[in-house]
Amino acid sequence: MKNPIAIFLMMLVPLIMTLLVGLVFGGQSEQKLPVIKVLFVDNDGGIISGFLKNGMQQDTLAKMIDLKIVDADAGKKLMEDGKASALIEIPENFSRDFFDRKPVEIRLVKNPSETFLPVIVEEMVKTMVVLLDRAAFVFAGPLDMARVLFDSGRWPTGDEIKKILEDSKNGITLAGGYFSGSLITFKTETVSDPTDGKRDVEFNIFAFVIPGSMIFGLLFISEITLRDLVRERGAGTLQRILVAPLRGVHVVTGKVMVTFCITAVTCIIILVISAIGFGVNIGRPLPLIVHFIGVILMCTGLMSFFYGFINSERTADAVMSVVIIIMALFGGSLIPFEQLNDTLQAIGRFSPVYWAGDGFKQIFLMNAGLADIAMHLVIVYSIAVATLLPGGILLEKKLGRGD
Amino acid sequence: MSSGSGRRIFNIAAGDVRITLKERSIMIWAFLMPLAFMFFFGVSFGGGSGGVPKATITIENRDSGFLSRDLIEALRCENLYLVDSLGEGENPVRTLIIPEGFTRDILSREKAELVLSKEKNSNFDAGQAASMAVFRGLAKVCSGLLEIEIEEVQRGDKRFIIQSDSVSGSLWSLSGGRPQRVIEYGTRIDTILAREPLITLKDEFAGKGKEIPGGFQSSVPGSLVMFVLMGMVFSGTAIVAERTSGVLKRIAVSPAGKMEIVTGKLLGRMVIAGVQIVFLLIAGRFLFGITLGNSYIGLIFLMVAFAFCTGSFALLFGSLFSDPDQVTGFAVLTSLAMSSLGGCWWPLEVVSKPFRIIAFCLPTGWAINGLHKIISFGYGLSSIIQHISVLIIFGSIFLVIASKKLKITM
Repeated sequence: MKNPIAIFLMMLVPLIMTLLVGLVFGGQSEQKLPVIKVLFVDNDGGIISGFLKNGMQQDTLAKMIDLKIVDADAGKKLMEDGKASALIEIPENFSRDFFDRKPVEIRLVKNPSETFLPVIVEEMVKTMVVLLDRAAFVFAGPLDMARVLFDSGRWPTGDEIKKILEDSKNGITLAGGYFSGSLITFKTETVSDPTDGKRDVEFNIFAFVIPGSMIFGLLFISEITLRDLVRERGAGTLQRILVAPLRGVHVVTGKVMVTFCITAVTCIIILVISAIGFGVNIGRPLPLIVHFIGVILMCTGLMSFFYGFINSERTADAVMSVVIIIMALFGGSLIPFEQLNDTLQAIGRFSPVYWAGDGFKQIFLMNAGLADIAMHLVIVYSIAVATLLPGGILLEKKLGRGD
Repeated sequence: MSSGSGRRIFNIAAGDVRITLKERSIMIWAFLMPLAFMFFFGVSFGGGSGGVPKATITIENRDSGFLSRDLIEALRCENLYLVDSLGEGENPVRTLIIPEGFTRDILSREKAELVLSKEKNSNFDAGQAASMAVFRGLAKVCSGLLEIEIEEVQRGDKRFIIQSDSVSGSLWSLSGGRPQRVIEYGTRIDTILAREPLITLKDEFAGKGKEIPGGFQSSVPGSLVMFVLMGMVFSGTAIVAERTSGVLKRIAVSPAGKMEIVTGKLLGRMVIAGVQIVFLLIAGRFLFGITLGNSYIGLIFLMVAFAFCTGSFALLFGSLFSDPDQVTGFAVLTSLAMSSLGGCWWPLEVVSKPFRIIAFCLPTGWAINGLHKIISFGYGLSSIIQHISVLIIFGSIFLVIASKKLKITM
């Protein structure tokens, strides 16, 4: 091992990546979005805009949104300074137009430098707009009565209020069935997830991040270790070694075994640090060991195979990192796989990194057993077999030719 | 500075640029990898679609009634890809299952269940957007039905009435299951759903930007800052290598003094960073369709300040370490930490307040924020004076330490 510092530092990369992501996104607990800063400009000051404003400060919405009431100028200034995620502007005469059933337009200004939070606000406001718009039709009768009362410019009498409530009663009773969920329920579920609903392990963000970054680091460690072969070939060391009563197959097998051992030791160290330092539940021993061996064989095999085509250290410099990073990008090591769009996910399923990382994720987060990760194991071991043998043969041929 | 001194600085800088640009791996790391990252991170954050993820939903309609058709029509107005049927061997990412007898159950006011089933690991944001879209579609259809129900209840037919806050009967019992009557309801609800909405939402972006910012608008600045920093930090290894191999010592034998060497090295790195920045901005504009804002002057000043800052940081790295292997490892770790904490990996809006403060303790945070002011908000030079000043201060501090620490010989 010519490069212990490089290997040690490469071992730190997945740990540092995991530590950073874990610290930034909240350590042990379920990932939560920060409270979204939303500005509310009420140019109307009427009953309906007040209803909207209060609605956004109640219950769940109040926990999600930090609503700040501002005037139009202050709102504009704050948005231009990027101090809020979105601004909702209610136009003048909004309530009046609502009662008159005239078209009205709510304005939503989003922060262009933010990616997620304005979209959440947009989805929420869109839904509120649909509900309010439909309510204008469903409760058309009572709203008409209310409008007449507003126009009269006097306080309504008890009888008038009673009449409005009575007229609304049918609508409210009928709508109640839809709102309470006794008529329509809408549920979402995850398919083809053997462990769906069986998660009995507390969510730990480190356990979510470490599998991907660990595979990324392990591939680089296998690559650095096998690089010695190219370096020694270039320096003539291998030719000198082959003067001894050794065949190329011995040298290659030795190098591949060393790569396997160093990658395995690194993986064990990362797993131990993850368990002790980050509180990751590393799951049941049997699936962990079986998957661990498969992954190490796969990393060693992949790198042996690729090095079978590499002639010099300069080529390795240019090619190997790129190959690893591309596999990692598609496989969800650098961006969570769930974050990739449908097309990239479809391609990503061809990346060995996905199967290796997702297998560990299932073990850590879902306490998965062997049966749960059967598909992962078949793919990981198949890749290992399909790359180790040809990789060894290619490397030996290179030694034989003295490339 | 004499013309001889200027020429020596120029020669040192030009030499470094020539050597660097000859390296194949530099070409890949400086120009190709950032493009890959821009693409992946950009697509993950919504691509060119303004950040709103467009979800794919396969419709599995087991119902033959009009309500399911109306629901599907309502979903067509949402930001969704609706797939009616799948090819052989294709797997649906998300499937909306409309159960058999959906229309009849709803008309009878009996319980119906809609299921949105998602593939494991399917995109989370798109899944959330899909759920919200289905909810809105349902709200439209149900509210239309509600209007008909209210009208019918007001007629006072005993087959569908409200007695002491509870509903007795339904539209189905009113129709007596006669197809003609059910079709009538269908026609009425179609008319209701075809009405123009009274309340609409107009969405726009703050600032002076004319184009809708998409995922690439975040990924291009993030990847640019990360890879320029990474390239510069890695170039610190070249300085260590030059010290260990004695190249710097040989340069020192020439009339070039230490300050000329330091300035030449800095200038060379700034030129390389400049070439990289120009390439990545052009790629961002024409390959990923991002806007570069309204102020090229502002953009140039900001990027020059960033190149100065990272170039000085490279010199600092080159002056602090004596082993190229060590500097490589630390370069990886430092650039990863500075990029992630500075907001290159994820938008700072989703991190907690302490980490937003940390971001502004790093040059990467200032560079990203400045880039957003220029390209996302469309502001000019005056809005980023503070950013440029901070980057120059960072760069000057790095440069002063590097100049003091740099030993020409080991």
